[in-house]
Amino acid sequence: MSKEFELTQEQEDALLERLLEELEQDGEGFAQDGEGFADEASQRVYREYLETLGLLVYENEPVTPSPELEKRLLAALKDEGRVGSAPSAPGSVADFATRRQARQQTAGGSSWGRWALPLAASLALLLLGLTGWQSVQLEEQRQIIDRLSSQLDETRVRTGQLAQYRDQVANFESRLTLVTSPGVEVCTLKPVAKDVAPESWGVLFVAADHQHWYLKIDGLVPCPRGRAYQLWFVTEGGQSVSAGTFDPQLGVRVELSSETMPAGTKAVSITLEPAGGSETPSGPAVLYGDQVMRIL
Amino acid sequence: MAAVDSSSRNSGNTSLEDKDLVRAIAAGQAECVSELYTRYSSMLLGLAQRILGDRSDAEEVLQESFLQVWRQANRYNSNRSSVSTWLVLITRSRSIDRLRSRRVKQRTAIEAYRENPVIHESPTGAEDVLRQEQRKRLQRELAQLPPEQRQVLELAFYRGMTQSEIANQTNIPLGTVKTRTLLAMKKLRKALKDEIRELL
Repeated sequence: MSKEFELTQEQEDALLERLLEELEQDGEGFAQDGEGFADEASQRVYREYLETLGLLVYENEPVTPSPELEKRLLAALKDEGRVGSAPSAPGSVADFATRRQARQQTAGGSSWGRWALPLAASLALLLLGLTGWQSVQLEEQRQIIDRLSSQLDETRVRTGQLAQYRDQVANFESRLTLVTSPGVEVCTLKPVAKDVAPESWGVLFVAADHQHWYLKIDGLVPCPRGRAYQLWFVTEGGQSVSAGTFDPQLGVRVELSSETMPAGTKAVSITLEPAGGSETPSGPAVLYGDQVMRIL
Repeated sequence: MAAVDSSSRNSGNTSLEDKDLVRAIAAGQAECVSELYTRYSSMLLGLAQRILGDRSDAEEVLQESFLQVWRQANRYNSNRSSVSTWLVLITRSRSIDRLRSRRVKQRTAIEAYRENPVIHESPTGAEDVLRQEQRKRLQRELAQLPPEQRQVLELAFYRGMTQSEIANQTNIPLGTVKTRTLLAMKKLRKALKDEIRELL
C-alpha cells in the first residue's frame, strides 16, 4: 500500500465536511452502501478519514459483557430464524433427478429409457428454474425487509429526537417555575482553589419550601481518572451532607436538581473525591457558596 | 483489523478474516456472529458505555447492534470500510439513538450517588496485547490534540451533536467549530497513518 492519495486543501475540506454530515445522520451509510465517489483519490481519502473515526473507539477501555448477553443474542438470532443460502444438500430433489438420469443412461436400450432421459432432464431443468425463481423472490423480499428496517430506524431516530425535545421543554419549564417562584433564594458558588477548575462557577436556586433546588455549574473540567466531584450541603451545625457525585463532560454544563435538601442548610460546596464518593469531604474544595440572596 | 481476543473460542471460525465472517453471516451462518461477537464485543461495549454512561443500556445496544449485523450483513461493503469501523459506526449510531430517545430525565445528584458508578474493568484478559498497545497509542495521540479540538471531536462522535449544536452548546462560532473539527481529523489521520493502512 505505497500509493499516496492527496487532494487539494479545498477538496479535502469539502470531503471532511461530507463525512461529518454523514456522521450527523448516523455514519453507517458510507460504511456499507451509501453513495460513493467518482474518483479514486476522494474515495481513498474519505475512507482513511472514516477509518480514523473507527479507530477512535480504541481510546476507551474495553468492557467485558456479561455471559448472559451472548446467550440472549444467540437466542434472538434463533428467534429470527433466517435461513441461509446454503447449497442444496445431497439427497435433494435435484440430485435425485440427476442420479436417476445417470442410472437411465447406464441402463440404456429400452423405449422407456429413451423417453425417461429427456423427461428427467426436463424435470431437472424445471426444478432448477423453480429454485432460481424462488431465490430471486427471496432476495427481493430480503431487500424489502432491509428497506423497511432502515425506514423503521429513521422513524425511531425522529421519534427519539421529538421525545428529547419534549423532555427538554419539560425540564426547562420545571426549572423556570422554580427560578421564578416567590421567595426563591439564590446562592453563587465560586472557585476555591486556583489550581482546580479556577474558571468554574455555579448558581444554586432554592425554592421557598427549602426543599426543591436546582444547581447549574459551568466551566468544570472532566475529573481525573478514578476521581469524581461530590456535592455537599453544609448544615448549621457544620455537618457536611453528601448529595452525590458527578463527572462532567468537557464543555457541557452540569445541571442538578432534587426535591429534598437537608434541614438547616447554610452553605454548599463541591470537592474532588475518589470515584464513588467519600463519607465526609476529604479532597480539595473546588466550589463553595454561602452567600444567600432572596428574590421576592 | 482481524485482531482476535485472547479469549477467542476454538469454534473453527477463529482463523477467518473479519470480512469472511461477515460474508458467512450474510449467507446465514449464525455461528459466525458469535465469532465476531467474541472479537469485538468488549471493545464495542466500552464504546456504548462511554456514550450512554449506563451498563444495562449499553448491553442492550450491543445486542441490537449485533442483530443489525445479522440482518444487514449483505449490505456491508469491504471496499467502503473495514469490518471493525462498520461495527463501530453501527454501535455508535444505535447508542446515540438510545441517548436521544430515552427520557432525558435529569438525574438528581442524590439519584446519581445511589446508582452504581460506571466500572471500567481491568483490560487484563479482556483484550490482547495488540489492542492494549493500540489503545495506549490512541490515548497518546488524542492527548496531543489541543483541548479545544478534542472537545469538538468528542461532542460530535460521542454525543452525536451536530456542528450547530456544538456551536450553541459551547458558545463558539459555527465556523470555528468546523475548523477545529477538520484540524483534529487531519491531525489524527496523519498520526494514525500506520493503523489506517492496516485496515485498508
